[in-house]
Amino acid sequence: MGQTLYAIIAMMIVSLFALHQQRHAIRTQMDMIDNEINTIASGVAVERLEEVSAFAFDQKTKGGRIVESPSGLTAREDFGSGEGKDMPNDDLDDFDNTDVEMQREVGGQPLVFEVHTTVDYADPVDTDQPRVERGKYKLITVTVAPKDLDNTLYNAEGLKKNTYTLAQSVSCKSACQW
Amino acid sequence: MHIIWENLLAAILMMSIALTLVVVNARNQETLTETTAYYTLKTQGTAFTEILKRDLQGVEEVFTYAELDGVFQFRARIGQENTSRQIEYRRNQVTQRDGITFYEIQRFVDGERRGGSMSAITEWEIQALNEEGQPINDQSKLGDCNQILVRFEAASPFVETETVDRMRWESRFFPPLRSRSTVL
Repeated sequence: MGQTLYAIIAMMIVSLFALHQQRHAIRTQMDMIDNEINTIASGVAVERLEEVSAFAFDQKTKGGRIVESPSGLTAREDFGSGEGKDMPNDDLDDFDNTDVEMQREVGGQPLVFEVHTTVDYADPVDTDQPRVERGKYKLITVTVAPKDLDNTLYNAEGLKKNTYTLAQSVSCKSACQW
Repeated sequence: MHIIWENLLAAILMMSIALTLVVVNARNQETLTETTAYYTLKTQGTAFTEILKRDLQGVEEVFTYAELDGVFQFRARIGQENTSRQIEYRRNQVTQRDGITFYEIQRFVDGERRGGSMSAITEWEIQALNEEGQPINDQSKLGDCNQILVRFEAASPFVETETVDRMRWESRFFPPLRSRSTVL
């Protein structure tokens, strides 16, 4: 009877060890998949940054016009699009607080990303820092998150719903002369 | 009878434990190999994407609307440089494994070899697009080029991985020197 008990305990210890190892392996695989989704998301973020930064720095600098003081630029509270804002979306700050969906194909399956864009003025000394006061730099920040198509992919036991954030400052260049 | 039974039980138990340990060890080795292969690939892939970003953000002029005879040529300003350089990406077959062809993308600056990708590229696409994002398929319309699409897939050159079989990266570039902001 005693030996049978020892045998059962030995089996239980080995089973627990195997289970622990298995969970570790699955966690590692999940991390790899998360990482790969982030790699794809980085391409999406670069594309959105490129797309937005290709537009004119400000409504007032379009067509090669020159702005001679910071007050000539769009105020921070007027960034964005919609009612009361300048239309159409044809300069950088029009893309503030906008959301779009972008898609990539992975192994023949679509992978949809939700892309959120914000635009701020940037500190001229540290252009990674946003600020409210008008100036020669604008900071575009793009946040990309994979869209959970069927609400089963991301949950407490599954993949983490990571977001990928990329920011880039854009200069007014010769259009701002003060 | 009792002794035989106990020995038999001990032998079964020992075999079960040994088998479990072998399986767990094999699984660990497999995961470790996959992880190493993937992160090596990712490190090399990320370095290549940085090269692509630096080159394609400064494009001034494209000479081929897509890869022609394995070559894509353009002129670009790299980084903060004031002068532009002629850049060429050449796709070069490296090896084959299980029916998959592996390439490296060689990068030439003003005719001299200057880096490139890892030898693990399985898919490579680079295409000039017009302002509407439509592919340009005619050399005579290269002046309409406003965007450049680049896409690649890479696989581990050492071992076929199952969890993540490919590293994939795709993006569209809107080079400022060819973009709307310069004409608006």
